[in-house]
Amino acid sequence: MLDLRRVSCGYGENIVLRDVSVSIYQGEFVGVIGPNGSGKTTLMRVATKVIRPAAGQVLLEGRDIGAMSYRELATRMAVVGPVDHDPGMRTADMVLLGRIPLRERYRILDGKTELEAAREAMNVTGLLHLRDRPVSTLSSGERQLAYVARALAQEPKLLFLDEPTSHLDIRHQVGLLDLVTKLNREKLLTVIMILHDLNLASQYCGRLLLLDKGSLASDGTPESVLTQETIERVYQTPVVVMNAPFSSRPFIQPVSREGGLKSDLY
Amino acid sequence: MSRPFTWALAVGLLVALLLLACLFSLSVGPSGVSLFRAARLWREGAGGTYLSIILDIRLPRVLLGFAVGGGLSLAGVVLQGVFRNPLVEPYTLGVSGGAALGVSASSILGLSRLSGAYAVPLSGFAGALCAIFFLHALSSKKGVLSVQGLLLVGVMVNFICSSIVLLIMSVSRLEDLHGILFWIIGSLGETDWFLVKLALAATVAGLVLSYFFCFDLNALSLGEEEALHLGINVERMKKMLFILTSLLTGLCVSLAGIIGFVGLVVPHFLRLIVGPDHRILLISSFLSGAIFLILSDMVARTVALPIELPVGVVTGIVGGVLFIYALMKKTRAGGV
Repeated sequence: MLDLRRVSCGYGENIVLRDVSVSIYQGEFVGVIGPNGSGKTTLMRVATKVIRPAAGQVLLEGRDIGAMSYRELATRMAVVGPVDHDPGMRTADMVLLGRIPLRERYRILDGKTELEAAREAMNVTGLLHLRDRPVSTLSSGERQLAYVARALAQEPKLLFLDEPTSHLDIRHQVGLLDLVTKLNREKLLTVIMILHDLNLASQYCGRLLLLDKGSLASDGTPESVLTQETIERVYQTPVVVMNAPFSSRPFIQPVSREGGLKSDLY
Repeated sequence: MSRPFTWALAVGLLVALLLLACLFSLSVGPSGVSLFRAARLWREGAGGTYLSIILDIRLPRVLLGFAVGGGLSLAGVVLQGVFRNPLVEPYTLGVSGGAALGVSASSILGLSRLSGAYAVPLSGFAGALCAIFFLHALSSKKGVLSVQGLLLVGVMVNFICSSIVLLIMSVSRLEDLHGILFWIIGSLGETDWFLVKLALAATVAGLVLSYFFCFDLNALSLGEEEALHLGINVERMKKMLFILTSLLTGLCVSLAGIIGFVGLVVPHFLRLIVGPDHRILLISSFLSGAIFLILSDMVARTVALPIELPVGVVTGIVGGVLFIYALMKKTRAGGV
């Protein structure tokens, strides 16, 4: 569905991604992990045509995205970026913005299709009761869900999420990731998600891309990527890798140098 | 109440207010001729002078006030959307200053003798366009300029332009001076029917054109990257809107001089009333800007009788105070 072919890119002189090739297939749930500054967000930005690759190609369903219009792209992929900007509007209106790439431009007022799609998106995300509240009055968890709802209103085949759980408590983290998992399974939505939390990535993603200094360090199932040796090398932090209960996916515990070891107590 | 209904109500209300303002303004003036008296005399078959005062002196003023107020207010709301900054408008960004410079340069160089009546608006447009792309180049080179940074650059652009206008004034002949002075202060005294009609047609066309971008502006309120993800070609859209706002500002400034703060005050209050959706904000700003300028002009004409003040004095005082208030509020809220 999405192919990066030997992509290098960056900002001006500063090359962030070097020669990255990766193919994402339809229906996959892919987590992108890596240390700060390893190029995760840049990878997302080059795949969504925010920046152009300095070398290489990005193909969406076999077509070079450089030759596609932004509008064409927006009907196929949606992005949930960092939620830091208050648009000063009601939740329902913010979700309705997701219909912009799909609507006929000369129709100024919202038609039935628009209103129903927005309603459905708010229903799926459980925000219907908040539809008349200004976005600024929502909690961080609700606001993040509102951005997901806006992306869903675009009816995308491919959904990008950039650290959707970073400011949420565990209840909202699990709620959001369960929702994305459900959409991935039931609607065959392809999901590419940047995550900082390695354990959430391990728990939810079927495939992980580990970036290190702008190159793809590892690509595969959580079991094959999240090994003690790889994590310690890329993150330069000692860790213990165990098996999580229930899922038996890898569970990573960073080892503190300054205490926290039980043996210190004795 | 459904939203289309509320919107229709708001537009209907504004149109009614606009008509009232027009009638009121037609009926007030230094000659003391009221609309009713002129109408009564006209029915009786007399009062040709009264009628001509209303139709030839006051009507062009009102129509020009409609076009210029609407045009400047529309330019303001569009610029605020593009820069995502509620304090920018043609005047605070220095676009009006650029237009005034273009106009006065062309009047000194005698371009109007070469290309006729279009020369003045066109040179205003060229000046406005230069100012706005200069600002755009500055703000995109360093990423996004902060709110205050942008305003500061705008004020400086304005200052540079008005200094050059002063330079032109000081080397020009005395008989050209009055015309240039008029552009710096701003007034609705233009009585050339052709230019008034041109202003009306062009600003209404600008309103219609701006509606091709109402969804783009809505998407942009989430941020430039988000707008890209919603399928908006942000760079192209910005260029088109810069050209549109330069046309509007250039035209308004060339006909009525620099009238400050109309594009700031009006959209500022409308955002509070009708909300941030550009589908209603564009037309209601246009109508309210027209009302605001027509009424300001009426105040300017009558407040210091028998002297007529230029309308820019009124909008400058009202708008300048409100600008400081809005800036303080924004700074206190930590939004800058």
